[in-house]
Amino acid sequence: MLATSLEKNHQADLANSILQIEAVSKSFGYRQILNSVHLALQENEMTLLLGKNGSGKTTLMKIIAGLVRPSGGTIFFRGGDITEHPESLRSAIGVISHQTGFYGELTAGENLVFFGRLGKKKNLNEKVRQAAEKTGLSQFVDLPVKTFSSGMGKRLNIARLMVLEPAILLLDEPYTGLDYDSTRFFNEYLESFKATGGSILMITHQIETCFDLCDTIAILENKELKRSFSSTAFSMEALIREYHNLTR
Amino acid sequence: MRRILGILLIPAIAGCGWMIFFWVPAEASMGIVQKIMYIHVPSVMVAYFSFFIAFISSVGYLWKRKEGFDIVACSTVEIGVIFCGIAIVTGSIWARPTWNTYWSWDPRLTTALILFLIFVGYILLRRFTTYGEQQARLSAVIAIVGCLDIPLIHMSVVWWRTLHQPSTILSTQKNVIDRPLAIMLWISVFTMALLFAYLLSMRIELEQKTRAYLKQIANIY
Amino acid sequence: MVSDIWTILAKDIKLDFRSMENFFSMLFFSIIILLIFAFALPADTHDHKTLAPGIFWVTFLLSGMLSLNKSFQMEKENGSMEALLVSPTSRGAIFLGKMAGNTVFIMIIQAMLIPLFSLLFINTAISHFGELLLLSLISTIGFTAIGTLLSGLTTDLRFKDILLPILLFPLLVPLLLASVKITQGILWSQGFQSELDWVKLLIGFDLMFLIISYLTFDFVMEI
Repeated sequence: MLATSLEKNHQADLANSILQIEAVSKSFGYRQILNSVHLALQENEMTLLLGKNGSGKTTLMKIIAGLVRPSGGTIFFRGGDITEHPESLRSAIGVISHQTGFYGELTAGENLVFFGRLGKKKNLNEKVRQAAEKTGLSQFVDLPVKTFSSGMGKRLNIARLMVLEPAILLLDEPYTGLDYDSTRFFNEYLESFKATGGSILMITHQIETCFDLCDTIAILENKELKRSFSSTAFSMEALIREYHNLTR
Repeated sequence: MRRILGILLIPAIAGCGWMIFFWVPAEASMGIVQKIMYIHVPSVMVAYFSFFIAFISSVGYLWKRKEGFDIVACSTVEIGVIFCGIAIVTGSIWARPTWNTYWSWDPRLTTALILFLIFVGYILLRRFTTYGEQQARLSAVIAIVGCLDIPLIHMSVVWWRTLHQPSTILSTQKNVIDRPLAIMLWISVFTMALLFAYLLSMRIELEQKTRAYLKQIANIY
Repeated sequence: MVSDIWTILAKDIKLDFRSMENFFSMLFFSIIILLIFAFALPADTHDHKTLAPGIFWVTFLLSGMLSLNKSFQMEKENGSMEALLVSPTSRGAIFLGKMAGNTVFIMIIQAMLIPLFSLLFINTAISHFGELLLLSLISTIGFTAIGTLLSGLTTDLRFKDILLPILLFPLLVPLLLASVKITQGILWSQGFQSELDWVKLLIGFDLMFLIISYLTFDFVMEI
């Protein structure tokens, strides 16, 4: 077991965090999925959320994204309760989940413009052009998304995040389907996103890929967030060993 | 509480049955067939009443998100559908000798039929979803939409066959009904209400037990 | 709010008419239903006069059902619904946008069906094209208001294809009765005036379900 003394000072975290999850619980009918979870996301930081399959990681992320209504608890975004202003949080988050969420019949550009419009972004055409350029999709902007490979779809997802300019990223297994180059590119994007004040919550099983980016690691176990600690406290090997213990 | 209700029900139903056949005089023009009214009218009233409770508890569920509201809603809808079915069947049996046809698109029977269809849809929706928060939420929406549709359905069905004339059946019937007949009707309504309360408490307890069991087996691992 | 509705509506129209598959299959479906009625019913044109309004609205209900099904199918394909729900748009705007998309789609099909309907069943109908289209618009609003709510409600469920009509059609009885009666009035050249009560009922239906569906759509869209 990792020393509990490594645990961060929970109270200090809460004071200056961008997103605060307080005692959130969720039960789907007869099944308890989350039981009183506390978590705080900081600016300029990435939090890695670990847990075995079915431990409620994705549900927690969906609750933060406002897709699932928690059975109990509150979420504060920049100090305000989000049940009162759900749109304020939703305009600040960017999501990558299992599905891309693009319309196959529309072109990549049209998709980006559509989501940009819903995100109330100004200067949209310019932003779309830049995002496509940065993600290397410039020559594909006018092609329908249904012709895209899954790797290109992922890149387009990153382009959407660039257009939406969120303050918080919720990433659910973002590395699946990314080749080596794309992975490196994605990590560079996350690095710069963090540097400009962004906050990231990531679920992944590829700890090696993202370990260098992590600042905090949180572990969901038995429906509860048992531990969260700083990543500088121990090596990647130690974490992976711990993770294997957990999922065994 | 329920036991008292159950014990009370036995003499109530027996007494009500006896009174229907031996105490109350048969209605002059329709003869003995008219006695089916003492089942038909109370079932209609109970059906409407249970859909009304289902509506209230569905609103309550969406507002407060307490499982109890959902249990009440699904129990009342099931009982309401049964009474609605009884009302339709007895109504058409009654219609056969009086209007010489089983089905005459009488506005009130037609409304009951459409209500029956709506809430059978509600039960099907519950069947096609698994016990959980989604099931409760979606079926609450259907119950609310269905109940709010009732006045429109009734109005349109009345206009549909009666060529714009407002339904005068209700007002004329009041004068037609004799005093003992009216008393008998109220007694049977009261008996049916007792039966409804008994069934509802049984159904709610059954639902609670089923859910407790489902919770138990789901959290075993 | 208004700009969000417009964005979603424009996207839906673009999707519908980009590949035209949806549009043509829906149009052909409606045409085939009308033809089947023509084959199945007696050739006597006198009978047609009394049957025609019913035929018109049954065709409307069946083809409208399919377009409702399609509407949320488009969103489900790549999980776009989730992307839509995490965007800072309100659920109400999503509802009104999808509903407007359905309304436009159904209205275009109706506009094309009226001439065919007139040709097959009642030749004078084409001279009431404007009135029939206006009536179609009023009915379509009520239909899509409740239809969009219910197709959103059933998208995630098993057997949704059968569940949607089972839930939807009984609720639509007032709309169907009113539309048929008003169509009779129109086809017998009495215009809307003869059936003013039904018009009021229809508009009441529209308003009521627009409000109820708008308010309850939030609950349907939780996952």
